[in-house]
Amino acid sequence: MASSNNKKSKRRFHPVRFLAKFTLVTLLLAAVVMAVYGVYLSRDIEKRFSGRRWSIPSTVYSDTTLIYPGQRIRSDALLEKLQRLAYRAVDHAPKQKGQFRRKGESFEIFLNDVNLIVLERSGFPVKIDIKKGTILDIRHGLSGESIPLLELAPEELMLFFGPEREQRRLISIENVPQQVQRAFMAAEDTRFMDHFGLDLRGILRAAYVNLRHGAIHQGGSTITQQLAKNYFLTPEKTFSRKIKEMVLALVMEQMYTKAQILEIYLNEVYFGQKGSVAVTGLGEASLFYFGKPAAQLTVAEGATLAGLLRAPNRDSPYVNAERARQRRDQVLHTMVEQGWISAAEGATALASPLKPSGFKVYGKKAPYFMDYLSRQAEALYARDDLAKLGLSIFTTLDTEVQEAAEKALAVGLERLEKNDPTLRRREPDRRLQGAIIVIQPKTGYILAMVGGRDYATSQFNRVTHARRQPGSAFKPFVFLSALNRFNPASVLSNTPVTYQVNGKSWRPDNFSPMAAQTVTMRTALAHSINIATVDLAMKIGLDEVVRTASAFDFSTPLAPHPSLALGAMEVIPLELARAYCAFAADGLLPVPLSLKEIGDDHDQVLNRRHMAVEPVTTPAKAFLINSMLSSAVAEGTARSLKGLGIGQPVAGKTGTTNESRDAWFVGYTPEILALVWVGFDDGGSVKGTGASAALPIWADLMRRIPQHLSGAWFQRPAGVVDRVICADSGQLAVTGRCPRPVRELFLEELVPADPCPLHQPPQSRLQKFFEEVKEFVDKL
Amino acid sequence: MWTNFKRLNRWLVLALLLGCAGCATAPLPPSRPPVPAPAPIPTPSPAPAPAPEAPVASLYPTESIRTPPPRAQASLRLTEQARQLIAARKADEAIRTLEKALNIDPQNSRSYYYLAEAWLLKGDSNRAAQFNRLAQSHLGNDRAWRSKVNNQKQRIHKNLARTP
Repeated sequence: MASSNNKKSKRRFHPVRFLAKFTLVTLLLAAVVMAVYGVYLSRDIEKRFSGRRWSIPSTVYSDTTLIYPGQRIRSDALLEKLQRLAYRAVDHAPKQKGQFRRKGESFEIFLNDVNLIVLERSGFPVKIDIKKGTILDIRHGLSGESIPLLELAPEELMLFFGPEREQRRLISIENVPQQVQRAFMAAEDTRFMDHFGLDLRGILRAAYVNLRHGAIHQGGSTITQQLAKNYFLTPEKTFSRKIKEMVLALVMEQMYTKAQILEIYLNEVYFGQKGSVAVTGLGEASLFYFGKPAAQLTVAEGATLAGLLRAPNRDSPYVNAERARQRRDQVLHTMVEQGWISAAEGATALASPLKPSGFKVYGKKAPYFMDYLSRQAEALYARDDLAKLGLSIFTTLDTEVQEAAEKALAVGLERLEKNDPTLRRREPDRRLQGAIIVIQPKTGYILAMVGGRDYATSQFNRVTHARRQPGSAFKPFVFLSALNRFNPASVLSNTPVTYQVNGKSWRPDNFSPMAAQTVTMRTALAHSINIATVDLAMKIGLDEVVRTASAFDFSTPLAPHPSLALGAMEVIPLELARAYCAFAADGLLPVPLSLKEIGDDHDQVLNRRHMAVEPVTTPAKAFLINSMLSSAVAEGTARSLKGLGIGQPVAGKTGTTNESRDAWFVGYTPEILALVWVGFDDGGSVKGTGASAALPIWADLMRRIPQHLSGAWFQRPAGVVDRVICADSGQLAVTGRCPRPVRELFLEELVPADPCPLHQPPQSRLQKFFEEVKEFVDKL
Repeated sequence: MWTNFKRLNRWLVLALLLGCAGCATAPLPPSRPPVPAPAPIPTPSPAPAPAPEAPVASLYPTESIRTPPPRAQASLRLTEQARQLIAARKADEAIRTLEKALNIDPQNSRSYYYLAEAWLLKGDSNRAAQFNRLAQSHLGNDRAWRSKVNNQKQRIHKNLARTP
C-alpha cells in the first residue's frame, strides 16, 4: 500500500517542476532554433559583406587645369575654379588644406590632397602672384621654391545615380579621428565598445523611460542594431522584425570586430539631403557640411555630425543652426562625462562657432556634353553598373571654357533678340537657338560643348545631332581641293554665270554686289565671294571637291552639284568643327575625344583613350588655308573680330545660308578652335549673317578664356615659300613697275614663274627686235 | 621660204632704222602688253604709273609669332616629364603627358618624337610611324634632332618589318 502510495506520489503532478522543465526545454529549443537561425543569418551577412557593400554612383570628372608663370588668366575665373573645387575662403594666411585667401588679383592656397588616377599629390601651400591678368610667379608657400607648372585637380561634373539617388564617399575607420569615432558613440551608443550587440542596460532604461512617458522616447538600439536595421531589414516596426534585428546584431558582433562594425555604420548612415540627393556616410557628410575629408574633422565638427543623425534634415546646420549647435553640445557634454575628452577640450569645442562650409545643390553641369559622354560610357558599361560600381570617369572637359561658352551663347542670343525683337518667340521650344563646340585641334580634346540654349527646355544636342547647311563655312574645302593646281594669287572670274543643274538654270549671286570682274583666290575666300568660288569649283571639277571633302569624314552625303561649292548641303556641327581642326593641325584630322580614362574604385585604369589623328591633307596645304582664312579675319567677312577685342592672328570663316536660316562662325588659332552656330530649329530666319550673329558670340567666348590664346601663329612648314607678286596679275611683281606688290605664299611646286604681264618695263628697241626675231624663228 | 627671207630682210632694215631713230628725242608709242592674260582672266585696265618703290604688303600674319616663352617652357617641362615616364616604361602616362604638352604649345614638335617613342613602347609601330612622320616634318631642319628622328624611323621600320 505504502509502495502504491509512493507510486501515486511519484506520479503526482507538480506544476512548478513541470513549468521549470517546460521552460527549460522551450529555452533549449528556442536556443537551438535561434542558433540555426543565427547560422542561417550569418551566411546572409557574410554573403552581403563579402561582396560589394554599397552601390556607389560612378563620378564624371573634368580635365585637370594647368597653370604656369606667364600664363594669361582671369583672376575671377581662378576664384570660381577654387570655389567649384570646394576650397574655402579665409581672411588669414591659409593654415589648413582646402583654404585660400585672395589678395587683389593674387592668391594664397593650401592645396588639398588629390588621390586620383590622373593626379596624385599631397596638399601644400602655394602662392600665385597675378598682375594685370598674367601669372607672374607661382611659389611653394613653405620652401619659397618656384613652381614652373601647377596642376589643379579635376572637378566633379556628374554622378551616375541609381534610382535611390545616394551620394556616398567611402571612408576607412583608420582615417576617422578617434575623437570623431567617440562622438558617434556618445550620440548613439555610449557602451558600444562594451556590449555584445545588445545593450541590456540600455533596453531596460529605454523601457523605463518609455513607460514613464507613456510613449516611445528612447529606442535603446545599439549601433550594431541600427546597422542591422538599416542594412538588412525593411522599415516596418513589428515584434518579429525587432527579434530578427537583435539576432542579427548578436551574429554580427560574433562575426566582426567593433572597428569593422563602426566603419560599416559610418559609411551607411544617412546625413540629410543635398537637393534631391541623399547624403550618405560620414565621408560624404564631412564634405557636404564642412568641406573637408573626414580625416580632418575636429571634435566639434564630429560632434555636430554625430548630433544630427537622429533627425538629419531637422537638425542640419543648414536648416537650423541653433538646434544643430544644441545637439552638438549635448554630444560634447556626453563625451566629457564619459571621459573621452578632457573638460578643457570640451570647453574649447563648445566655444567654437558652428560654421558649415556652404554647398551647391547638385546640378548637371555641361548637360549636353554629359549626354554625349554618357552614350560613350554606356557603350562600355551597363547603366546599372555605372550607378553602383563607383567608377571614376575622366573627361577632356575644361570647366572654364564650358562656362565661358554657356555664358557667351546665352548673352549672344539675348543680344540678338534685343536688337531685333522679331527674333524673340514666346514658346520656349521655338526660341532662337545656338550651339558651340570648342576643340583643341592637335589632340581632338573637346573642351566645351553647348548643344542648345536651355537644356531644361530642349535636350536636343545641336552640336552632335543637328543637320544644317554650312553655307560659306564649307568654302575652305572647295579651296583646298583647288590647291593642286591653283595658288592663293590665282585669279578667278567674278562674272555671273548661269549653270544648268538637272535641267534647271542656276545662277549664283554674291551676297553683296561687287564690281570687280576678277578676284584672287585669297580675296575670294576672305570675302566669301560666291561667284568666284563656284567658278573655282567648276574649274577643278565637282567630283574633285567631293573627293577632297569626303576625306574629312563627313557622315552626311556630299553630292557633286555646283551648289555644293556654296555649302548647300547638310553637315553636323561637330563634324564641321572637326574638319576645320585638320587645317589647324598640319592637315591631321583628329578623332574628337571626350572620354580619357575610366578607373575603378581601387584606382586601377579600366579603359583609356588617347589622341588619334589621320592625315587628310599636307601640312603645306593646311598652312595655305590657314593663311587665306586669316585674311578673312584681317580684311574679309570676319574683320569685325578685331573691333570686338580679338587682336591676335586668327583664322576664321563665316557662313550664312539662304534667307539667313543659319549663321556660322568657325575661328581658330594653333591652340584652340571654336564653332558657333545660330539658328531656329524650324528653319526660321535669324535675319543676320555669320558675321553679325555668330561671330560676336565667338569673340565673347575667347575674351573669357585668355589662357587659351597665346598670340602665336602657325609655323610655316616645309614646302611653302613666299614671293612678291603683283596684286593685279597674280604673277611675280616687277620692281618699280607694279603698283601693288604684295608678299604671297605658294606651294613650292606652284610658284609663279613669269613676271607680271600687266606692268612690264618699256622694252628697249633692241630687246623688242630680238623678241620679234625669236618669234619669227619660233614660227619657222 | 623666199617669202620668209624677204620678211627677215625687211626686219633687218627696220631694225637699222629704229637703231638710228633711237638717237633721236622723239617719244615712243606706248608698248602693248606682250603676253595676253590666260583665257578666263579678263585683262584689267591699265595701271597708273607706279611709285618708284611701292611698299610690299604682306597678305598673311607675320610668321615669326612663336609661342611665348613661358608657355613653351611649361610645355617642354611636360615633354621632359614624358621622357622620364618613357624611361620608366610608363607609356600610357607618357602619352597623356605629351597630349597636355601639345595642348599648351602646339608648336612643341619634340612631343611628336616622344609620342612615337611611347607608341613604340606600347608595341604599336603604325601609330609610332605616324608620329615619327610628324617629328620628321617639324624637326627635320633641326640638326640636333634630325639624326634622332631618323634613328627612330629605322627602329620603327624594323619593327614593322618583323610584324607579319
